[in-house]
Amino acid sequence: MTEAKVVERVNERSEEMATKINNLILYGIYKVLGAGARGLGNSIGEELLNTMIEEYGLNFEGSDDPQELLNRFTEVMINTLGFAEKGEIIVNGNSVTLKLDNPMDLYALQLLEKKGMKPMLYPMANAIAVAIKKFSGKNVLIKEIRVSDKHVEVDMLILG
Amino acid sequence: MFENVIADLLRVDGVKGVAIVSKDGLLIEGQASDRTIDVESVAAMVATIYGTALNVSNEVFHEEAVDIVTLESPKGKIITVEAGENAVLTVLTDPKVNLGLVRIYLKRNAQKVASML
Repeated sequence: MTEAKVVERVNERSEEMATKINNLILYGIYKVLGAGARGLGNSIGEELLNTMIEEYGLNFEGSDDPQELLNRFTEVMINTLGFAEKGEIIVNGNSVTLKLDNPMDLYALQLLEKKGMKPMLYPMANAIAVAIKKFSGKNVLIKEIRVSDKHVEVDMLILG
Repeated sequence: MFENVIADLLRVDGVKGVAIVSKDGLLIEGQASDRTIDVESVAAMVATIYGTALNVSNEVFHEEAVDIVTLESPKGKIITVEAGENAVLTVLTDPKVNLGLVRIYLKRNAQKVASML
């Protein structure tokens, strides 16, 4: 194996390990704080959205169409951050559903479910809720987080 | 959306602030008479305190349900009740507020909030 290939493999493994460790940290926080972790959601969502805007080029200028805003959000989430293999945000009236294939935090959510704990915090959904509030002034409630083998789905409700 | 709920609670003697907060810590609506209070920050903290209380209840009593969470400090109280599946209703009060009366108003208005979310 060439040196370049070895370095590439080490980098891949480091990235894999970092993701796994981050998932375990997330799981630990959920486990200790339980429902208390949910209360952190909005603050985490706010910071996540700011980072996406300031550091990763998320730009909402020139559009006030909610679907367009959410499409741009998905583009940065998937193509720039690589948070999931595939992502979709579906708006149906006041309901918004975030669908993700193989997101980075899937392992933490699956661990929670295995231990009989219902996932109650989903930072990407919180960031979407903050984005909607910021650009339309409407509040968003996160209603349900569903986890399966390869997907996460989050249902949200726009108020008012 | 919740102007009536907020006005009803602010009428109670000693109540200085009211907030309807999602369990994710998002301030849905709120008002405080003291302008130095950052209601949005308080909202996030209240949601965390309420959620942690649920967790403690679950750990100790094996029941993830809490009727009321009261934080008492020498300078005031923060009283929080559940308002449906996804929100809580909280009031900030003077230290010598009539707790019984506040509880009645809180429970009544929490039902109203729950029915609207």
